[in-house]
Amino acid sequence: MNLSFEKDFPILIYISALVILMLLGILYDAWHLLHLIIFPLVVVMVFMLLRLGVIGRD
Amino acid sequence: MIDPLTPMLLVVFSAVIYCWHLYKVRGHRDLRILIAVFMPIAIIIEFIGVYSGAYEYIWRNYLLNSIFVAFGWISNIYPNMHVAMMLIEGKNYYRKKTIPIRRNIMIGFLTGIFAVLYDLFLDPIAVHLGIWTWNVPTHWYGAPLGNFIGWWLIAFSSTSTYILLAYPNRKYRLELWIPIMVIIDIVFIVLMLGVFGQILTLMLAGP
Repeated sequence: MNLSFEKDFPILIYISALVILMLLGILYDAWHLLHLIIFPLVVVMVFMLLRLGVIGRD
Repeated sequence: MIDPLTPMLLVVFSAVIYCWHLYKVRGHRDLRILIAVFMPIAIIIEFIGVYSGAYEYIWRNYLLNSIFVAFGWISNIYPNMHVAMMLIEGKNYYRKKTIPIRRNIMIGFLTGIFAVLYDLFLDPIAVHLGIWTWNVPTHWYGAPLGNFIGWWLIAFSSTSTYILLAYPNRKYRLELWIPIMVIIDIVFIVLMLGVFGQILTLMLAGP
């Protein structure tokens, strides 16, 4: 699967935002909140299933 | 507490990148519609929220709050809308000329769900960093449940309005329909927040 600007770019920025939030959480001593990342990861998982063609349509 | 410049730069940079993506895949007309719909809804709803005293931002300044939320709501909604549109309209949704109203509502509904999933992580971290502070009873790691209803309502109405105006069956007079739809959205969000807020208050108060 090749990366596509039209399809994949917004999710790459979304994942970057999650990583930055995680790093800020670590930096400001919020370890106890980091397990909540499971919720936005559901969105990332839906996207990956879409891109792999498991769900959705062309 | 975090430096106030950090969250401001984060949302502005990411919103500009999302806007650039929309400009490349859909053109300047859709970008103007997105900005003209998302930003006023975000600024007015957040102004009402801050003015009501329910929460306050780190800047304690309406102008900086408005800049933050205007860019922030584009950052919050755009990637979630992208996934919802790919799910409902297919991977090449951006090539479509029209989207029927029923599928538009479904996209709005899903965007709201995805935005809330994002906020279940974002809000506790933001509260911990001191970017905003809630002055009402909280239920989810420092955030009240009503906040998530607000997130769903804003994401749903902004997305549905953008799609309605950007993927129309006929050309709308945008200079007329954008302000009309933004006012309808704001009234809808405030009314629904009031209704669901009351229901939540009653439910949480118990017998």
